[in-house]
Amino acid sequence: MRRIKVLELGWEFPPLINGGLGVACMGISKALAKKVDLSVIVPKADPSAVYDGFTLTGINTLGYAEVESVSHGYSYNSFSLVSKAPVNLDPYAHVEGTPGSVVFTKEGKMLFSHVSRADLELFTGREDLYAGDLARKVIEFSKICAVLSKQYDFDVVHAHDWMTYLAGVEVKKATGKPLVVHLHASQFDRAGADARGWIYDIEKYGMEQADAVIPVSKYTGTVAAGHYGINPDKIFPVHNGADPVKVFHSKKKFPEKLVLFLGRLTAQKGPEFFLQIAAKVLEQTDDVRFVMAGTGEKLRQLIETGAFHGVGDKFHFTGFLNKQKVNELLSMTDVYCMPSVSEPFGLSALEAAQFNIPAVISKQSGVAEVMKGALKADFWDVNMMAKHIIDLTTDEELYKKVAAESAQDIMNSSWETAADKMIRVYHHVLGW
Amino acid sequence: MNITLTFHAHQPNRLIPYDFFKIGEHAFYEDDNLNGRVLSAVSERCYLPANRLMKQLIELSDGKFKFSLALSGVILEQAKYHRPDLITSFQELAETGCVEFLAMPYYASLASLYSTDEFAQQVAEHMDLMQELFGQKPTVLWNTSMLYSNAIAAQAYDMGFKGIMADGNSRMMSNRHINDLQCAPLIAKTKTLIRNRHLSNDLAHRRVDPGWSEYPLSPYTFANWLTEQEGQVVNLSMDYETLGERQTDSTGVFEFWRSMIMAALFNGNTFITPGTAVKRFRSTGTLDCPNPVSCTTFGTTTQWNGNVMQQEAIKKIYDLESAVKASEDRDMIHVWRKLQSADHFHYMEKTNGFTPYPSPYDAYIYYMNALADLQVRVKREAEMVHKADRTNLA
Repeated sequence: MRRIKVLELGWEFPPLINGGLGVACMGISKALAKKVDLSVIVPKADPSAVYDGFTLTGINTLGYAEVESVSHGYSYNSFSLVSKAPVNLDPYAHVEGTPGSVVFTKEGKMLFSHVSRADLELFTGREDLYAGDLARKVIEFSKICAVLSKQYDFDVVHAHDWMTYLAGVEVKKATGKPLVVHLHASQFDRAGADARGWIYDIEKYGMEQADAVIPVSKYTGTVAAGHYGINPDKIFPVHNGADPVKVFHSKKKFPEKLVLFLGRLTAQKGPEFFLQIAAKVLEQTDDVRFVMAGTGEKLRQLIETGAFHGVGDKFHFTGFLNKQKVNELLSMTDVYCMPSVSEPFGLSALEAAQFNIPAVISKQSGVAEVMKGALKADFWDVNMMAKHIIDLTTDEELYKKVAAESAQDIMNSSWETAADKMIRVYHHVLGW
Repeated sequence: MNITLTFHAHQPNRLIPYDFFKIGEHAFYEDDNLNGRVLSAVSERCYLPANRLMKQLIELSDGKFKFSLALSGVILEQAKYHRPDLITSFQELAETGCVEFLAMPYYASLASLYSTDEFAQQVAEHMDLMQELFGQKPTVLWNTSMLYSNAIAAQAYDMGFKGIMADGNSRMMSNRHINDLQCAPLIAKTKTLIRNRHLSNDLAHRRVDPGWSEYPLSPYTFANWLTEQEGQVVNLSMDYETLGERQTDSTGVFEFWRSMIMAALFNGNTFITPGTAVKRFRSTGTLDCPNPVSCTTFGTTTQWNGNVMQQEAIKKIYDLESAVKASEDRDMIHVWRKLQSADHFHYMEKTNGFTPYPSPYDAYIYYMNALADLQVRVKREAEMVHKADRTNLA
């Protein structure tokens, strides 16, 4: 059987990233490239970056002539009626509230097949990918991908998260190739069960049009089925892998045990619950310190709530930390706590496990399926979470057991395993 | 009319951006460089020229002009390291015999509200410093931002003060008695001098306010207002930084003060020091002030303890008192006391724009991290002492 040719559509890609999506796409691409012929298109790529085994095309690096030259061969106008779409949809900055709605024009049709110079310039500027008129970027990206796809020879198109779903659907319609969409995070995770609006619509549309949906966990699969009404028969969960990190350990400068929360300070990540857990733990012992690393729109509110609980001398905020500082923090952490309200996967818990740190994680997370040894509780069950933390900080036997099991869990979580499962999904949609 | 004039000078010990990673490792919390630079700049613009002016006025008036200074221990400590010439300049004023130094809590703290023991100790430390630097034993207490209440007045009496200064705050009293000495309930020997808030603020704020009906204020007009006052003594008091810092040289502030003081003397007014005032005059009545008042904008304590961040920071620093003192480690006690300065809590006030930090939240975070470091140190020291004790017993 010949190697499958895959066209992957991504949004973020290292080294130009905002969050975990880019890291995951990189891990998937690297592992897939060993077994399939892979081409990746993203809106923005670092022209100087070289990747082993696959080609990465950033639309920012394309000349207008290159797009223009293939423009003529394709015309499709399913989105020609969209004249104005809501702005400011940055998933990393806006979590609460609903995005605006799309405005459709009555007569003025834009020719979908035509890519203007200005469209291309959306991706060549210095502006952040999530800044400005994100909706327009998403639409233009899908137009350009549809056009570009004519130049590629591929068997299946694989799109990552809602920003590229439209592009995936357009490519499928333009070329007739099967579409696989990857669900890294949904609007349900970001904005809660009542989330509706443009992003939700695109996610639902993309998954409906897709031949297969790959959520990053069974948990996220149930979200796709339950909240988006996607046929469970075409949902194939594949857990993320974890890239090995350089692990080191450093000695704490203080005597207390250290419990770490790492993530954006948004409702999805459950930082308020972490604060409540800390307050519960500190009621029983003063031999523990808590660190909340990261920033987000809830930071100030959390600082005041911490002061209200009277835990400010044992509960520390670091603000945003770069990777090096995060690793420094991990190197001295005793317990990792992830009380996410809804976490599609939760790679950071696996990364912590690489540092041999036992984790206390919420049941509403994908990584809970992978980390069999981790201590778990419902995200709202702060008493249980606090009990787990106290147990881990006082019971050395338990600590060793959980850490050892986590080490085993990591061995089983590689991107290679994930890539093999994805290839099985490709085979399934291709009927090979 | 009798007039007392008191200037208060203080500079905060601003903290470095003390992040989590420093806890347990970095024992120095203050931004020494920044604090030194600010002190130096304010010395050049304000303290030194103001001292020169005051000395000149004393000489011009043959010693008829007298005033008093409430200098925090913190600013003098900073000056010792960064601007010894500032201390010399104050000492030259002391040598004139026309300047009285008032007692303060050394660290410009809120100890009078949170720990009576600590308050007494900080005041004693400040008295020692006044003796050491200026050869004076203060008889009048000028609490941080003139914090005053019945309880604080009673404590001033216990500490043996003849007088205590309070702000003529409308929350506390009518303007009618503002120029008369009073006493707190059941206190007879410690008299309360009440700052004439209105006239003091004319000089400290309104003189440079173009929206004020009297703007621009003539020094002679103000001298006449002083002359027309009724009562035993009119007490003027404000931050020394008014001269040259808050009101820059270009506003003519030094010229204004020179003319105003000379005009007031010419009009037949008498400048006396607070210590002389409490000796010379009887108390005219009882002043009941159950809740603490201050000379801050709202006259209350809310600028230091109005929000949860401030409340927690204050509670946690005073919670450390017994453990820190039990260590008998002078350096540690000193560090702990410096963290009590009211400035730290004021920086956590949400409406305070006068701050070295990006936000009140940052002020809180840096402070709490530094406090956590101190807690770690105190704990470590206690364990070491404990271990040593056990070894000795064995």
